[in-house]
Amino acid sequence: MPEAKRWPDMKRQPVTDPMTGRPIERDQPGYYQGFSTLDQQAFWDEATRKLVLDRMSKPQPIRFFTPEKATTMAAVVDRILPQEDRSPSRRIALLPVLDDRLFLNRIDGYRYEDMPSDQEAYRIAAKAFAQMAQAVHGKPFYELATMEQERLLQSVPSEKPASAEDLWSRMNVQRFWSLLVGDCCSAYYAHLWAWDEVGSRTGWRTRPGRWASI
Amino acid sequence: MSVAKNQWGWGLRRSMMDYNHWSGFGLLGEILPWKDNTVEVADGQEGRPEARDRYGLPVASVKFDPHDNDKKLIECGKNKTMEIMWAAGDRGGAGAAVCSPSGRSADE
Repeated sequence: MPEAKRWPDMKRQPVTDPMTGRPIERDQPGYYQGFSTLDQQAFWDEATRKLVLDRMSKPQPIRFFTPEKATTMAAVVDRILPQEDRSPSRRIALLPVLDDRLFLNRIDGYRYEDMPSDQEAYRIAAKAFAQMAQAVHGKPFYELATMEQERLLQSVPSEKPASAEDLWSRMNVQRFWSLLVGDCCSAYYAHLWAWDEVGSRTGWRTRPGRWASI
Repeated sequence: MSVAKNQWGWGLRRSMMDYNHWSGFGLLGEILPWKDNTVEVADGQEGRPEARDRYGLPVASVKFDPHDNDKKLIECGKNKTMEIMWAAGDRGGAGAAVCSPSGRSADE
């Protein structure tokens, strides 16, 4: 078995502009070039500043997923929230955030009766994605072309999984899909760079002395 | 919104770039206190299930199913919300979703 690749070492060809042939990666996608949420940090209380800046620190090591599952899931989250429009050094690490939450058991505090635990759901799903890739294409998930990966993923919420039906039948796939996309969104849009991307004026409401929720 | 339009991938990234142009409309409806909808403490006593959080405290065991009137209420609320938003000039860019107890919620 090849040594599992760690995020963000996964190599992909950069997406290029068809006219110029140059990569279209930017440090900051979105409509707000030059906007930086950090410009407002003078208005933040210390707790807020620490919370926000902590998210910019080095990602946690992978502790919940096995190396094999981590490699599959890294490729999956890269399709759920693709970041080829970002320069490689400005991509937001999604898998470490998800892995951290599952490792520390930071859960919603409730569970639907037709779902296993979050951890079990992700274990089943990682196995199922890998199995689908092998069954349909004879390759590991992370080695597939983007479109092949997207087609396999799409088959899950549409309730016609390309393969691994026995695994998917062990949970409510709509709820799982919602969980997966929700977790990816939480990881992405909690990050400062994503706030800059959407031009979010999150910082301005938090003045010293006022309780702030982010 | 990701719930409403079942978005993921580039579609989701692009929708979120329009975040500053979203408006939200929340509607709080009342569901009748049906006897078979219950909230219990999952402490494993007296036939109750047992489930604990990471602090060892029992969590809530919730049994909930919407009844007919609840479904009608939700449908009415959803339609009224969309009517109001349309009148206010929203042409449904981000999509409408139902905020319901049995699923995740999203604003439009």
